[in-house]
Amino acid sequence: MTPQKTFAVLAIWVLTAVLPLAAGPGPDFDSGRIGKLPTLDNGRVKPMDTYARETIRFLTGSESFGEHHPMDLLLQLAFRSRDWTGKPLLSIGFVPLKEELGVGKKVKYLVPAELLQNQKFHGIIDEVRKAGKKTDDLPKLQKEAVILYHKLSLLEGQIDALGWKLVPHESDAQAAWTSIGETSDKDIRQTMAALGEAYRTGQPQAFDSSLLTLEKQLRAATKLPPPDMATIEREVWYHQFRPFEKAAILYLISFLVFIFASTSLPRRVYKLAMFFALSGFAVHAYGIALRSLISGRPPVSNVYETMLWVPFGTVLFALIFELVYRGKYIGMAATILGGAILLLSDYVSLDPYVSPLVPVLRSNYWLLVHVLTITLGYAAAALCMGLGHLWLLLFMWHRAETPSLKNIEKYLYHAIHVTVLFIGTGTILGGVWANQSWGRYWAWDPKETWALISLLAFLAILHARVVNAVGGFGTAVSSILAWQLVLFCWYGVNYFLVGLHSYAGGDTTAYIPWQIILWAVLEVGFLGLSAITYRRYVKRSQEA
Amino acid sequence: MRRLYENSKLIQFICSIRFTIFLLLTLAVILAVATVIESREGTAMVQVKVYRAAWFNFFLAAFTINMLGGTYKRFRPLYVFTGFGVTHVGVFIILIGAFLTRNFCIEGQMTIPTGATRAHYVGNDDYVTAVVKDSDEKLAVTVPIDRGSKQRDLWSTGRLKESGITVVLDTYYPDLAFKRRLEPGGDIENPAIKFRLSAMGSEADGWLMPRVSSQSRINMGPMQVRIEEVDADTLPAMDDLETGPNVIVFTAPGTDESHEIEAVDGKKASFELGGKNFDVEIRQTFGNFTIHGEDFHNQAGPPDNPAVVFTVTSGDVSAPDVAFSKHPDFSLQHGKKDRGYRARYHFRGGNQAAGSELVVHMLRNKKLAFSTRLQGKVGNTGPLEVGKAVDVMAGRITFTVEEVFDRIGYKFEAVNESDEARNPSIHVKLIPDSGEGAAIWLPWGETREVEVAGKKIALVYQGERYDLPFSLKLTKFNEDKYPGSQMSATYQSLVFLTDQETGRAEEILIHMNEPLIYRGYTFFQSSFIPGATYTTVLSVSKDPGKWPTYIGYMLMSIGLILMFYLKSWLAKFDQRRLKKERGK
Repeated sequence: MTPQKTFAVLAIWVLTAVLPLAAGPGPDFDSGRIGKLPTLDNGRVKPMDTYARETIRFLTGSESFGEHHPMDLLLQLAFRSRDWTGKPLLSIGFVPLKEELGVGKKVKYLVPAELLQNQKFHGIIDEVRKAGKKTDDLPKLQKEAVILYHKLSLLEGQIDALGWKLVPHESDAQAAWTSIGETSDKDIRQTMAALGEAYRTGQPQAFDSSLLTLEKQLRAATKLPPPDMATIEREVWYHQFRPFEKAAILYLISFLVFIFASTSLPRRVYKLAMFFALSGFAVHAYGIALRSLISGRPPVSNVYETMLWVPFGTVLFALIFELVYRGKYIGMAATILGGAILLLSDYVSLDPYVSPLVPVLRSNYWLLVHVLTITLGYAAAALCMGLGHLWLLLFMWHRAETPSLKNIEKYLYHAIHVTVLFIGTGTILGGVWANQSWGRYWAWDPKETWALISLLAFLAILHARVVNAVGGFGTAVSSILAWQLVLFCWYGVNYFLVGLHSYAGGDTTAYIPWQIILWAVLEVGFLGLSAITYRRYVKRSQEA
Repeated sequence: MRRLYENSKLIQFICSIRFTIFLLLTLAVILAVATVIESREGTAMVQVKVYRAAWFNFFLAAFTINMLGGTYKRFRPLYVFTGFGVTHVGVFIILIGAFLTRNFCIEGQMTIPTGATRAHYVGNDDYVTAVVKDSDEKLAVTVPIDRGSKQRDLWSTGRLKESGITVVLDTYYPDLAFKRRLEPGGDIENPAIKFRLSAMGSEADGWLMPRVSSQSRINMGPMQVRIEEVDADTLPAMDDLETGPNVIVFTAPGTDESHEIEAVDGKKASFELGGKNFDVEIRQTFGNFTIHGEDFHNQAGPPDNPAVVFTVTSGDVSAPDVAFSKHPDFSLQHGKKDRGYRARYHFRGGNQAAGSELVVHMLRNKKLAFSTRLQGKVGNTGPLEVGKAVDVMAGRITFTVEEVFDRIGYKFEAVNESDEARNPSIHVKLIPDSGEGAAIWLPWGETREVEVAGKKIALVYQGERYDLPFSLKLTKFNEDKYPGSQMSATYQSLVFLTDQETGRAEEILIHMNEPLIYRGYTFFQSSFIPGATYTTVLSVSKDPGKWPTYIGYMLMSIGLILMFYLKSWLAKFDQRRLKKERGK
């Protein structure tokens, strides 16, 4: 068997194992087809499939609640609502609210019918109504209660599909679409009722024919050109395919193979690792391209999208470095980071859906250039951090500065160059953009200040290397520390400081989640341990 | 220079890279702390405490010296063209630009309602300005807090040097209410009476001031109480007290003929006078007529100058005319060709037929009298005496003047429980070098006067106003929304620019990310105030540091690329040159 054949077989095996079949229609019903009906929701025409995902995630906290396909669950909520109103469905997380409502602390889901009869819940909502404040100004408990109330009303909108905004305006492209419950078109209402009846009574054929009729009627309801079905189908595919999850898994496999490659195994293993890294990168790039095509803009307008873009940059830089140096460790550092960040993007509770942009972020060339550049800077900084960790790990393993450590140091030094270049120019371009949008190139906004702080830290490392104030160990440790500043700039500023960039909503009452504390403790412990090892090493070499 | 450098350890340290690293890291820490301060205490506060503080300037100066020194130390002629040289020259130019911006940039906001024209903007920084009366002394103290912030102590002070008074901005309150309290005294002659009125078992009291329009009449149910000053020592006879509707009386000169028209806006009448036919149209009646430029205005306040504007058409000639109640001889036709009529305007305070009125007359000799009117006719007159209840309307209403004042002024008192309009306010203390100090609550935008150490000081809390050498008129404001939602997609202002000096007059569209740049000023679409008609909010900036900074930015970026990726090539070049030199 030639190496190429080995790769091919392995690749097919991995892909079939890694890529679960696209989530299909419900047992007998074509929920895939109904998922492609266009709807105008939240300022954007999108497929019902996306609406279902957003709705199910909002109601239950997870897109795949109870192992149901979201569109299928949406159909059940619509046409078999009685099956669900008595079941635990609405996610609740805020403990004080659970206590206030008198449900157990460990309860994760509330039963809609019970919540509707909860007098304390009504009491809180009445209080909120009387206060007449904006939701953002409410105390956390009331805010959470309002969210719960929104969940209830959204659930109510699902019953008999009455709240589905499927009927386009007759002639005005800017006007809101009418929901099934509000449309004056009797035929559409009847078709939807027939469709529901078919679903309820389990007649797939009747369901399909009603769906066909409904599609025709909806298309006939407007004189406007129909939405681009290619984009609608692309969006459905994007959500089904889950490119970033697959890229993450490929990266992690590549990472494992890189570990093997770093030992004295044949060159073939290195090539295999590169193959997985490249295929992960290709899937990653495909996902980003899909998302850009759906939203009509590059994916850099919120934290979730930067969490897709930064690992992309990290792997991109690593692949370029690998092509130049064939360094193994660069790929190792980048694939574990790429995989971890992509998996994390799914884990953290960020809105993963495409949503409209606020005016200042729209139609600006500089925004595009600035954000792409600065996030590539973050990506390079992440690579520095990864290489720094790798250096320290290997150092603790060997307890001496081996040639491979010298190599990693060299890569790290170059990665710092890339970081300074991209964070530097990215910050500058941010100034250019700010000048276009707000009339000042520098305003000491927390985000830009923190970008400058990160830049200063990396500049300090570069200057320290000029006078030999830091060697391999110092560079590795300081890169890891400088990365924490970048991380705060990327992520922390939006949550802990208030400013122009707080697109996450600027919730000033943000608390530090335990995961971050755990990670900080681990990081400090790791650095401490490596410092002890290094001191012993220095002592030893002085004695020798 | 070299020798100085070699002999001084201090200078060596100041130019050293180790000092650079120290400065870089210290700056990073300072900035990190500053962002926390900003998050907690607001943008204006961090500007005062850090970014605009003298010590921060000093720090940046140290940075500049270190960089220049370090660059100079390592300077070789060819280095100017290396990444190292270009980058550091770039950073130096950025620092120059930053210095220019910091000291000469003027930023502010310009709000223009649809249809309005503006030729000024208000700076972003708020000041408390103190002006010493009858002298040129003036002081502006920066308010280190954004309006809308939470209550907090300030620590800004300023000093009026000549007067020897220190101005301390003490505390900021985001929403302080004020109660106005009337107190006798003050500089302005402002007569007033305090009265009590009882009608059918119920009582009410209040103040009446003939010279303050809002206080010169009070509605008390169906009855109105009014005060006026009479330029006589006795109350005119009952018949001379003018009541009833306002009229214009037209007379033909040299004849006894006259014609009376009720002066109501829009009223038309035709009549014959002295053998001529006249068509008259009443355009507008004025209680207090003034002229601004070419426009007639009805100024607020008591009817000091009643007038009526009307058009008279006779034959083919149609011309506007004005008649004044208090100046019967003056008219627009005065001195012009005699058009065959005289118009006399009789202003009687309008037609009060609907309700009853009690008029308090303040006579020249400070005595008081009253008259009542019902259905436009005088019902009763008589004198008023302080402290004596007078039956003014057939036993139904008694009126008592409780006190009479020559001068009365307002005292403002800060209160916390009130429905009155709330204002961002600053508690200002004035501490003279000797003598007693004073403290005052200063609400946003209002001028207040304080007397300290025998000096009168006018204080006002507001943003600075900057006049533009041209004007902008908001022709149209447009907001686009995302389909089927209330989310703004984009918005833009169509403005009309008029520049008297250059003669430029042009319609310009300002929208997000596409500012108007004109004569050094840049106008950005910042936000808007929704309403029946939109009001646009433009950010304005005039920044002489922009271009140096941009050039510095460019050099720094190019330098970084040169340094990181062309350095090895240049190093080889350098080595070859060194070899050659050695060879010589």
